[in-house]
Amino acid sequence: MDEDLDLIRRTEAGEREAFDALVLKYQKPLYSLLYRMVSNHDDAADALQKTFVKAFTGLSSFEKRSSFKTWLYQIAINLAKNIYRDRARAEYVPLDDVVIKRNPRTVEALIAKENRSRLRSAFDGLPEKQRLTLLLRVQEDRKFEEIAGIMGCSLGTAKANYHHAVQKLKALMEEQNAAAGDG
Amino acid sequence: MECTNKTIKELLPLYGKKEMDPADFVRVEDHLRCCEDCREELALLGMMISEVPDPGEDFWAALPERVYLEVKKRQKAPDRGVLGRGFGLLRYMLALRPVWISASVAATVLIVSLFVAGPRRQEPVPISAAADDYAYEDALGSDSGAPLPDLAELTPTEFDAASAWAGEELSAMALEAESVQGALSESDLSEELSELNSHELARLSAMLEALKKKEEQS
Repeated sequence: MDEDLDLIRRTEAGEREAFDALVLKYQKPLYSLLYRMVSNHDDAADALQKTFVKAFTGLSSFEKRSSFKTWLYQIAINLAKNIYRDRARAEYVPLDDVVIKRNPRTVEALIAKENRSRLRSAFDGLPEKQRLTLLLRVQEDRKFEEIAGIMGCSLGTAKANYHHAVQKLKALMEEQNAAAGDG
Repeated sequence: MECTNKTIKELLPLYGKKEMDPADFVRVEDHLRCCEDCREELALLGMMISEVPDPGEDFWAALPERVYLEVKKRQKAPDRGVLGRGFGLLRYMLALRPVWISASVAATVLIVSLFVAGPRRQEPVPISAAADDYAYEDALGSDSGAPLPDLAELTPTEFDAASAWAGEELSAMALEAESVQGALSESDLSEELSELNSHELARLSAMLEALKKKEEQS
């Protein structure tokens, strides 16, 4: 965080190298998050650029109560939410065209191809905060402390959101399986 | 059977990843051996993990420049902060007006009395004991030697004239205040009156008492 504050100070002083360093440092993790939220490159790239522009034009409003990274994530998430709402249909988990990482210890228990689409549907059916918490924890490997900062909630709330999300995801999957006659 | 071990469940997403603490890895692995619920949950979470396609080095290399140019373009836009600050100053000045008006009400009644009573006054008779401590005549801009009026000394005609004049002035001020601030609520008035110091409040109170007494006598 001290490194970021130093880069911010130098950026505000007009140093181009510091500006570029901040962009290069956060462009990939932010793109990853945005891609998972909006599920296509064009929207993710657009949101990524807007995130940085918004952050750098509003740098004077960064109050340093959270880390610069958390602040960037908050801006990115809000922009992605707008895209998601505008589209009214999101594919948070693009399971069809991506490589699914399989845990070799449980590969035999993994769900069949038709269940992957049920998972996507169930995931989309989660409340926004739970969906976001699950995305940040499972897909972005964020610590709960980071998630709390990004979501603007307490550590306990972040963990509770995660547990509720997993429980609801399971329940929705069971409903879909039951509806499909899997029993 | 559903597992209630929240600590293990919170660690499941990191299981098998390089970010996981080695001690946590052992703890989770031991738990998974005997917990079917957590094994199923791990499988479910595993399905969610997906790779993000890499847009390529050209994309990453070009992004800082694209962002920089956009930021510079926006920074050349007109500075609305000055306008915002201007409006803020105007609002501050308007906010002061009710206080200024309330203080002026007390001063107005005194000015009127001074004007009406005029040459009849022989001696300065302070309205309250604390009056000597407060240079009210300075605030009124009058001569340092000008005595303060005693409202109790006014004749009924003089009192009526002063009262009518003050009433008109107060109405005009009230209308002006309303047009600027909207109808003043009781709480607004209390707040404004609280801005007056103890001398002003004491004088205002004494004047109102004297006016009331005069009215009762007439």
